Amino acid sequence: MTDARNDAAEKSSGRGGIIMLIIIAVVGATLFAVFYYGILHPPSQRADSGKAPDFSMTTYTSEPLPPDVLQPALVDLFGSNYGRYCVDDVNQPRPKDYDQITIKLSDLRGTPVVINFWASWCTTCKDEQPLLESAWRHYQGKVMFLGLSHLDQDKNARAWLQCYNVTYPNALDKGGKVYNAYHVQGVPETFFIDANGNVQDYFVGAFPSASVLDEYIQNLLHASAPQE
Amino acid sequence: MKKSLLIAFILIILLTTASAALAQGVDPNNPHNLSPEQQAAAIDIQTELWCPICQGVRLDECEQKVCQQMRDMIDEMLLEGKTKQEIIDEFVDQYGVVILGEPPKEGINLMAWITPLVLVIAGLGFAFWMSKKWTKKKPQPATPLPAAPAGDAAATSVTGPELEIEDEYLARVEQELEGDL
Repeated sequence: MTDARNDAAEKSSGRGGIIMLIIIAVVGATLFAVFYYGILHPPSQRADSGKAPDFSMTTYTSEPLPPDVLQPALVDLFGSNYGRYCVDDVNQPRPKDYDQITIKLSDLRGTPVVINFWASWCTTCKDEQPLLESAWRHYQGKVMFLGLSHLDQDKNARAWLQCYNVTYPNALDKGGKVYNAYHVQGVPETFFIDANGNVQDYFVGAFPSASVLDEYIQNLLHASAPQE
Repeated sequence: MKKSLLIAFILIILLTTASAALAQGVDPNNPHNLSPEQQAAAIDIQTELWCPICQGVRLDECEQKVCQQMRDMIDEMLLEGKTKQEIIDEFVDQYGVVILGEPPKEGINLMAWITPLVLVIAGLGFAFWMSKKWTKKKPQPATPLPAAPAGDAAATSVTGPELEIEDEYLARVEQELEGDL
């Protein structure tokens, strides 16, 4: 009788052990799967070739900020000597061409596009912005420029655009959706999309000179040119 | 003379400091002149949000420019009369879920919430099962004893394997002692 009871207890104990082993195995396998997925899909896989992820952006208003808002914002962004960075008349209205309009990347098919990710809090973006504006003015009609501000606030971004009198379309990348789609790793970063909507090249960091930016744009135009 | 000069010097210092403070008109710890309640709410919100570009740095401890802008934005929204939840929702909408210190409870992110719970339950179950296994009494096999001399029942009546072995040696010693005599 006692032996039978001991056998039953041992059997029950053995079953408990097997169940525990199954639970541990399942949890272990799940963790392994999650880590394996993470290794296979690293977050740093930048959209460096192939079809450029499509997105829509609603541009900032070109209405200038009131001087009493603009002035402290510029001091906050650039310091009291903000004139060193900004155009002479920061209060001038920006062109109305891209005033709160929605632009979809796929609608620009047939035109090469330069997408620049920036932020008003980004220090290195300060030196790059005049180069981009200058290049846009030079290549306008041949290449489209799009600016996306990352983790930014309306007041600061608009103050920034006024400071440099940026005339190409710029918008807030709300929730960092486009930033994540392109797997951008920091600002500034610039992507070059050819006329067929493919990522032709990208540049990490601020362009060191106008000639470097020009070289990238020339390559983009060459890649977008119809093949003979 | 010396005393009056000292008093005059102290007065100049005090007046200079006070006028500088008045000229500034801004408390560096409270640049937006929030009320004590709003200040408390601002700190409360700052401790719930995280720097979006750093690794594991809370907004209230972050020195980055982007964090300073976020703190200013919190102050401005509090002055507009927005509630804590409205402010947090607006930040999530504008900056993404990355500014929350925790993953959202949806999709693959659910794993981050469920896995620790499953592991704790599995661990507790395993510990319970192991403790039950260890504390379970196993029946001891009976060890046959060598014949002990008559009248020495006390030596063989003890139970347990160690005591039985000890008694076995004791019996042998006694046998040998008797043989010597």
